[in-house]
Amino acid sequence: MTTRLEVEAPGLKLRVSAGEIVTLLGANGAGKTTLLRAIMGFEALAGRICLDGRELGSTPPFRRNRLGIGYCPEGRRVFPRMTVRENLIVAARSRAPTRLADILELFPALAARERALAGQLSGGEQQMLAMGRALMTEPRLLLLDEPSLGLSPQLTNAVMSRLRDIAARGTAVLMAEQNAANALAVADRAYLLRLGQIVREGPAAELRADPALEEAFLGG
Amino acid sequence: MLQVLANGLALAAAYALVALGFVLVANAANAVNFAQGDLVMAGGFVAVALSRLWPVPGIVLLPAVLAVMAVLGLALSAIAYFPLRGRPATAIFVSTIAVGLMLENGANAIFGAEPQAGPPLLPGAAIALGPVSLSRQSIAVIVTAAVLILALEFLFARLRFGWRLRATAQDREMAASIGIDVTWMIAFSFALGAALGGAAGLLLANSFFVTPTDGINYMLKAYIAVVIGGWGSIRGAVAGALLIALFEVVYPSLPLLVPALPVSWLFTETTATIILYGVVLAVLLLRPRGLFGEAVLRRA
Amino acid sequence: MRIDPSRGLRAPLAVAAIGLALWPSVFSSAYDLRLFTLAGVYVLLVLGYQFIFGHVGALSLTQGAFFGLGAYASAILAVRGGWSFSETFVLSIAIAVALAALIAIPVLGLESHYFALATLGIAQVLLLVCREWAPLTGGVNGISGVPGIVLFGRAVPGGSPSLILVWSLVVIGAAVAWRIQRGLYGLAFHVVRSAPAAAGTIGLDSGRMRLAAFLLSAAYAGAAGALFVRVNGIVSPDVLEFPVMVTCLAMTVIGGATRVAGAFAGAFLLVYLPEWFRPLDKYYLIAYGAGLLVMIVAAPDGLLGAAARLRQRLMPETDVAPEPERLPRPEVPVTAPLIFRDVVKSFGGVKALQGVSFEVRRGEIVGLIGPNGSGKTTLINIATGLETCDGGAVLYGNQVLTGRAPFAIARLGIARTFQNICLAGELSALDNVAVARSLDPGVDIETARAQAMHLLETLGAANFAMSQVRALPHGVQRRIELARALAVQPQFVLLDEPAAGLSEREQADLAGQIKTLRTRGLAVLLIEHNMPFLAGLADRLICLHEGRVIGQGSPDEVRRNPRVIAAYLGEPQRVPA
Repeated sequence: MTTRLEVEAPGLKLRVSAGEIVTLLGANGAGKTTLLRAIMGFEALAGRICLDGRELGSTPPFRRNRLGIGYCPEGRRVFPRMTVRENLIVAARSRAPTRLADILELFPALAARERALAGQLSGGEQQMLAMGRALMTEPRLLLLDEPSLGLSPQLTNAVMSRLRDIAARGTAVLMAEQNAANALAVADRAYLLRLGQIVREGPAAELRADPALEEAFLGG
Repeated sequence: MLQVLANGLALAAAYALVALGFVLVANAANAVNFAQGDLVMAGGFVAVALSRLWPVPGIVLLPAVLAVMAVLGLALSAIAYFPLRGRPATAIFVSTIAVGLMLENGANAIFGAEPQAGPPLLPGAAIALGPVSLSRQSIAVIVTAAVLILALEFLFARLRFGWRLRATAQDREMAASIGIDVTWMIAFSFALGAALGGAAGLLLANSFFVTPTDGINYMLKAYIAVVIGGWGSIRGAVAGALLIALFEVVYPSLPLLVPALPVSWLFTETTATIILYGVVLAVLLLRPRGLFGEAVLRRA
Repeated sequence: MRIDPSRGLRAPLAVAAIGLALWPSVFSSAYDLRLFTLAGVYVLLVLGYQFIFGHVGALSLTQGAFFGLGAYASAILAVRGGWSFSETFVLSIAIAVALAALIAIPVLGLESHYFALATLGIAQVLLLVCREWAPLTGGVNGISGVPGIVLFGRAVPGGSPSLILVWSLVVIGAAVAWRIQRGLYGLAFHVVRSAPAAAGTIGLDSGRMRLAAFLLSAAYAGAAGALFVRVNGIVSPDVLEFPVMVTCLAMTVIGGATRVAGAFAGAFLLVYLPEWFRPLDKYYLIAYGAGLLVMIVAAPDGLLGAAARLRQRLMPETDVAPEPERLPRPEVPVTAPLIFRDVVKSFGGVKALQGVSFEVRRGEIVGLIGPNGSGKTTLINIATGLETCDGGAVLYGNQVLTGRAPFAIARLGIARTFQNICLAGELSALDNVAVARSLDPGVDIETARAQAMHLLETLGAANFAMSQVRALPHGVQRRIELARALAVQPQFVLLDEPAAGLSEREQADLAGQIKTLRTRGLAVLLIEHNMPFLAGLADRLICLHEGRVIGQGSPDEVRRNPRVIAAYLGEPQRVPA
């Protein structure tokens, strides 16, 4: 497996490889969102961020996307006054029709609402749209911030199983989640964050089996 | 009678262009461009200058005016917006006011304070439509503006580039996250906004003349149109512009149109403007977010 | 004002200022004197505009109209009625304030651009009236021959004497503005502007403050207009035109929108800048525009803002923290419970709360848990008046809270903190807390700061009291928010994720502090994800899921509740050992 992403900062060393789902766990304020935003270039990080061995430095967010990082933010942030179709196609770099067909196949719920304004979708549909939008840019690394936030368990399951499909195609996935059980069920590896530092890491199966886990993520 | 309506429509069409240029920048850059009115004035003078060099109908000059104004718009963004990006919005009020002052006084230094007439859009006088005759100018203004507005509508509704502009206006960070070069989109919005304002300047310069101090008036009209129209949709801005022009041109002519009405202080331009502002205040009281609601949803 | 010998620059600056003030009256031509007097008039206008634009942060475009109205009122009364200066001066102010009060009713509630447009419309109508109502206003020619200033039966000649008179009034106006802005009221304005959500929750009535600022701005503008016309001897519709408003706005932003000295700097620069460029002949106004542009790009927060930053860089000074002082105990401890009754709320089709009922009693610590998006914060927002509910009610004893404004709820003794910290970032920690003492009528700013110091000390944040909040770490900001909530002297404290981002030791401290509140008879409702933290602290837990209460009881009961475990973990079979 080729290593896609490496992050090195004080108290923080993290790596995500192609085809792998890695989850960041931790309570509110643990620094998950900040880390993802730093990888996307929205925030500064005192450290090094490398994509495919290339240091990103001060590369602006739109160039990072063109280098292969897709970002699906907390709270979805779809373009509310654009239709589902427009939200997706505007993100396409090339081969828009093929890409669009792929994404609609991956998220059949969106296909049914292609002409609806994104602002009028339900929370779950918006989440899928935000993921679809990020995938339209053909990322080699997909960043997801709280993808299950506000979704029913059923929808969460649907979203998580889509993630497996995405990873199976060779995309590296880095996801921040508060719902540890959901995240660990789908992830290969996990990092536990606290106050912006990694306090624990390991294969998801190992963390799943750990009885101290509940303390770890319900506790600060 | 029809001529009055045509004049009103022509004015509305031009105001709509000014308003669209203004709201385009307001949404993309999240900045109030106080120089928009002066850009209209500048467009008028560019047309005057070009027609002196090259005496052809205004419609031929339109592409040149659009191009010159687009460059001016880029320059405006480079000196008054980008250095202050991320700073308090009030700083950008003042920087664009400053550029407006430079434009106004620049025009004054070059062309003098006297009103100048721009070139007519088409040569020739009036078109006879049965018993009524309509001035070619007002028809040409309406058609030209309508074509520009439709082109804009096409850009935003059909072209990927237009979608990128809309995405930038709705959420700059997310636009960047899907690879859109937001800086370039904002610069382009300034260019387009200035070009639209300049086009309005050309359209208005023949019938209404152009004077260096015109800017403020156009600025006020654009602002009213945009706020009434709900800050963001093409439809809203056009509706707002129509309302303003209706009061400005049609209302004072009511005694001409309806002979039963007395010619009195009730139908002066002043009264019309007062009523217009009264209507604006009423609209704001009843619909605090404009007639068509806020088109660009704010994130919670 | 404390005299601090370390501020060595102050004396030379004062000498320079006095020198600058005297220079024109000694050396100058009549033209220079007039210019200097005019600058004083503009200082007054800008000082007024700072209230509504700077302190409230509302883009009012009627300031020029109030100025013009003041000028016209004085001119008409003086020329047509023969009124004296002191009479017209007072009346100009009164008329401007009266107009402000009249238009405040419809427009003051409007937001941002809509407020700007409404005020602009009023200004334009006024301009048209002055142009057209020729019998009263002289139409486009205006009114000339306005007599100069006569005081105590003696004419004040033009030049230096009237300069001194105008400037005396400017100094008085500045002193009044400074008094208003430097007290608790000034801090309150700052909170209303930069942390509007928090303003109501510490009992600040932002609507009333907006009104007060609007009326004050009109009063200053009316005074400036009255002086302007007496100095000028003539008034024309020009004073009501938009360029006057634009000049006023530019002066305010260039100088610094919230500082008294900024009004002086802005007015002076914009009055004198065109003069300096005069040698450029017909290009001088272009150079003026360019100068304006350079200035705003160089100092986007205004010259005074830039100067303050520079001073901070060159001579970093640490203000001395005040001696802490205990808060007086509130007289009557209230015993009524806080009752949530069938609270229902949806956001555009998403049902955030679907009939939530529970009670929090005095002397109790209740934890509200549940997954993200389960409606916890919405519930607190409804209880504190920041959001309305679609059905049900929140009661405090037998008083219905729902439907009341946030400030009214806060004044009943219900305070809160925010999940996404809501502090005025540019104020010091101390001032963020002190401002919440402004509800107590007997408290001045010194006392408020001393009491705030006490609160910060008890919460272990005394070391950060004088630092700008924006630069402080997350955990400290949370403690400042708690201190601010306690400064309201509440009966109920609603805390939204107070332990998020705190280290274990900080969490233990916080738990101890919350327990102290309980022993003092307060009730605490706190939202938390952190179960170990809650387990040792809360008397009861209530778990929300998808807008419903799915379990409540003692921490142990709730932790064993299978529905609660399922909501958190999504795996019902996993029960902690």
